[in-house]
Formats: sequence, C-alpha cells, structure tokens
Amino acid sequence: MRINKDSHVFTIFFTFAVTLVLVFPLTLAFVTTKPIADNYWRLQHWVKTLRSLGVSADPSHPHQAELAYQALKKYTVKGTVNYDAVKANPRSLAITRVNDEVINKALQDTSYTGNLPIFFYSTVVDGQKRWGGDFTGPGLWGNVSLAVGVNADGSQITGVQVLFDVETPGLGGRIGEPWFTGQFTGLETAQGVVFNPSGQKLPNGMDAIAGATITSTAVRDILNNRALILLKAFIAQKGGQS
Amino acid sequence: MSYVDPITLLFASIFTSNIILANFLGTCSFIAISKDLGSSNGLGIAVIVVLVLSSAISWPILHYILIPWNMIYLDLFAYIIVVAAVVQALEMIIERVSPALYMSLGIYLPLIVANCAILGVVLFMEIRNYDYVQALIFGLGSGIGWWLAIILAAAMRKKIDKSNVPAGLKGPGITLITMGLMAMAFVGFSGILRVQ
Amino acid sequence: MSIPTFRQVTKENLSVNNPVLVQVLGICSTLAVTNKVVNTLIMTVGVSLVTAFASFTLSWIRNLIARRVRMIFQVLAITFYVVLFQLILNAFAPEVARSLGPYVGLIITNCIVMGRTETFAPANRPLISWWDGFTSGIGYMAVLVLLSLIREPLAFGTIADFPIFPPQYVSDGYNWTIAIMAPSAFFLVAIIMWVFKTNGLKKEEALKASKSASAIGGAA
Repeated sequence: MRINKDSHVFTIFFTFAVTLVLVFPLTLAFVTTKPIADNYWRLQHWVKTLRSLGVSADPSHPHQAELAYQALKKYTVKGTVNYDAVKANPRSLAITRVNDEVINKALQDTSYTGNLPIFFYSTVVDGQKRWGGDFTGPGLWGNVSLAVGVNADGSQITGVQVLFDVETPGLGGRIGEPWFTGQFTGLETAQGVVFNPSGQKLPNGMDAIAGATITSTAVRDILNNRALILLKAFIAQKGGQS
Repeated sequence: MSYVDPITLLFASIFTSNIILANFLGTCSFIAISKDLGSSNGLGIAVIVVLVLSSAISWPILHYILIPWNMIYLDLFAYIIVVAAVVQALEMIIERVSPALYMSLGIYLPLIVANCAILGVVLFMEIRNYDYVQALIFGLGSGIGWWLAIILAAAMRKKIDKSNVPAGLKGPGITLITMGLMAMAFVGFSGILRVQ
Repeated sequence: MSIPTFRQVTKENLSVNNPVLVQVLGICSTLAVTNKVVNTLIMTVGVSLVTAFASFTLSWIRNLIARRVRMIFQVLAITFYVVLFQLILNAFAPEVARSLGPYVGLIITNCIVMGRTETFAPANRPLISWWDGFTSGIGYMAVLVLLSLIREPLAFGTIADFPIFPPQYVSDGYNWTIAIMAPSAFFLVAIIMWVFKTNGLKKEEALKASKSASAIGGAA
C-alpha cells in the first residue's frame, strides 16, 4: 500500500510519531537532571530561609544548613488566605504545624514555577525570638518568592531573601543580588515599606532598581500586602506560647 | 494568587504590559511586516485569532495533562505543537470557508509559528498561574496590543518613508529607532495600571 | 545552485549576511539579554548550539520527510534541542538559568534558528549545515556581545561584573538608566547597523567607481 504523504492523516500520525521519538530522550534527560536541580533549589531554600531569620548559613556546607533548617519550627496555613480578613482580624488565619516532608514535596513540585505555598518559621537567635516565612506574589514575568524574617515583636525586618524569580535578566532579575536584599535588614514594619525619596534613607524605606519599577513595586507589595500582614497574624497567634 | 479582574487584565495587556513594547516579544515579524499598513493589519488580526485559540487550547493541556502527570518539563513541546496545529487548522478552515480572506490573511499564518509573542503569551499563562478566563482575556488583550503596536508602527513608517533619512539608516535601522521611541512612550503607561 | 564551501558559509554568516545586522533576525532576545556580558555569552552559545544541531538534524533527514510535514518536524526538532539545553542549564548552571529567566525557552522562536533550518538545511549536506547554523550563531554572538560591551559599562560600570568605573559611578547615580532598559538596545542596534551599512555602501561605490574608471580607461 502506498501512503499518501500529503494527506492530513499522515501529517497527524507523523507528528505523533516524531513527538514520541523526541519525548523519550528528553524524559531520560529530565529524570537524570531533576535530582541535581532539586538539590540546588532545596539548598537555596534552606540557606535563604535561614539568612532571612538572621541565622548565618553557607551553601558550601549543605549538611550544616540542613540541620539548622530542620531545627526551625515550621507551620503552614490551611486553605486559601483572605488577606483583607486576616488584616482586620489576625486570629482568623488558620495556622497548622507542618513537617519537612511536606515542605520537600512542595519544593519538588514548584522548582519550575516558584509558586510556593506559604510556610512560617519560628526560631530563637541569641536568646531573641525570630519569625519568618515564605511568601509568593506576582512579578513582571512570573512569580516572585521571598523569604522574610522579622524580630521578636515583629517591629523590624531581620532579613529578606529572594527564593525564586524569573524577572528580566540584568534588570528586575537583580533583585536577588545582595546589595538589593541587604537593604531590607533593620527596616521598620509599622508603616509598611515605602520607596526612598531620592537622596534620602527613611527608616522604612527601600531603594527601587532603576529601570525595573514593576519588579521593585512587586517586591514592595509582596512585603506589605502579604508578608507583613501574615507575619503579624502568625506572631499574634503563636507569640503567646514560649 | 491574587485575582486580577478581567477588565483590568484586558487593559493592562493592551497598554501597560504590551507584549511587544514592554516585553519585546514578536519583534522579528514586526520589523519585517510593518513597512506596509495593509499587511500589518492582516498579520495583526491573525495574531489575535491564533493567540486566543492557542491560549484556549493550551490551558486545559497544562492543567489536565501536564501538571497531573508531572510532565511540566515538556510544556514548551506541548505549546509549540498547539501553536503549529492551530495555525495549520486555521489555514485549512479559512481556505475552505473564505478564499478571499485566505488570500489576504493566509500568507501570514505560517509566519506566526515563528512569532515569539505567541509562545511568550502561553508561557506567561503558565508562570503566572492564570485561570481559564484570565488566560483567554490575556491572550485577547496581548493580541490586540500587538495589533495596535504594529498598526501604529506601520502608520509611522509610511510617514518616515517620505522623510530624508541617511542612506545607511534606511529600512530596518530607522524602524528600530522608531520602535525604541514607541517603547519609551509606552513605559509611560506602566504607572497607570499594574498587572504582573 | 553551486555547493557552498565552509569558507564561503563562514564569511556569509559573519559579515556579508550577518543575521542581526543585515537580515534583522533574532531581535527579541537581542534587546532583552544584552545588558550583561555574561548573560549575553551564555544565551548566544545556546542559540549557536541549537541552530547548529537543529540544522544538522533537518539536513540529515531532508530526503526522508514530505514537504508538507517538514515545518512540523522543524519546529519539533528545534524545541527538542532547546528543552535539552534548558534541562542541562537548570541542572549544571542553575544560577545562569535563573538569570536568563524565560528567554531560554524563547530560543525556539528565535528567527535565526527558524531561518537557517528553513532555508539552508533542507538544501545542503548535514556537516555543512551544522557549520552554517553554528557560524550564524557566532555572527549573532558577535553583534550581541558588542552591544553588551557598550551597555554593561554604561549601565552598571562593569564588564562581566568586573568593575571598570569607580563605585561612585553607580552609587552617586552617574550611570545611564537608559542603557539598562531595552529601548537602548533598539538605538544601539540601529547605530551599529548604520555604520555597517554605510561602510558597505562606500565599498560598493568604490567598486563601481573603479569599474567605470577602468571602462573609460579601456575605451581610451
């Protein structure tokens, strides 16, 4: 039988066949490289979460970072979060304990999209209670995921680290660089974070990245509209316990 | 994810985050085609149709096949097949239904597969976790935004053709400069609405 | 059509028919990634390799597939190499993969890859097609690296993150914000194109002049 190479049936069949042939080696490549990529993402997550809480951590010592991360108390939220309701009544947020396995699973699922669920952390640094969490919001291209830590009464930021972003290379993509994340340490939270007027440094002011207004605004909004609201609720609920 | 209402998303994707002037996707065919107003219009409309259809088909593929089966690494593969299939199918349908439309639109359809605006929009839909309505609106808005940009550029090029441009800058050179200025003008919109 | 030699292909792709300056292809990523030299290099290496191997594959299989399905096969083959590149980058250079963000995936629709696999590969043998794809990528790289070498110092005062201006350049706000943003790439590409094309026009005129001179000389 001669196959009519110009028919639509042939086209469709051909497409399927080629796809199958090409997908096979890709799947092989994916399966072999996925653990390497996952390890990196997990290590980044440990180190950055610890740093945001003011705990020193070094990616070149993964085992120490893992132990330090395991020592944190971890929580997550049940269901979806209504930010307005939580803002009005911090007690309305449903917080529950979570174990490392759940977090690892979530990390594996999100290594591609950065759409992390909300996790809270509490620990003690130099005799002082610290509170922190992972918060995700929209950036210019995709999700921006931040690890944010605050001090015992939630009045000051102890650190902000960028867990995930896919912002424009060289512009918004620079939010992960230390000069940008470092400026948040010590900022006051009561009034929310604002952009510094040019030439001034406010006690709650951050500098935007020139040319990356949308990404800078996204970071500010994730801090003000998500991180600080939820951390306040977290402290209100768990702060009473020792 | 916070929910962006469809009307805001539509306007944002047309003006504030215009796919070509804010994200710079789909510039190749933009430069090649914008020298003629009629073709620009045709290609622009074809882009709108393909964008809406590809978003409409890619979304269920992403949420009902790729994510549940843990095959998210094949997303680019799936999307490019969808785009190519949509373009082919559209070509066939238009050819049968309206030969006149095929004459004016058909020649642009194969160009669209190589247009990064389409793949870009479908990727945005994934990395921004849009729901189905949002994905459709975003596809429509981005298409309209692209159409608007190419129409404006074509109109400007018509005028530039009559101006005295240095010989070495004629054609693509002056078009690039025009686009740069347009992009800077569209930056002005970004303060009005903000959607991702 | 005569069979092109490796030397001809190289010359074509690097200067006479440079993909960015003459054919105006692959502009999307030209604009976005060229504000840092390192990002530019990795992105263009990716484009060169993908173009080379996609051309090789397309040329190797050129006699086996029907014309009607070639387009589909072409797109699928390109996607295959891009996804492979992305997976390798994600595993072995995660920092770079992050900093290039969404642009790696968009290599698929880079018109240079599309153009070479569409025009050159189906008509030529696999090895020369590989070389054609690779040199097209190098021609693309040359222009992009030149752009980034202008943009990065102006924007951040560094070249490949190595400071060349004193730190006050950025901290006191002397840097050019416009050079960070994409519109500057539009202007710079246009200026480079202008210089390149004017040069070409001059050469042409000189050639014409010498020809007509010799014609007159011959008549006299």
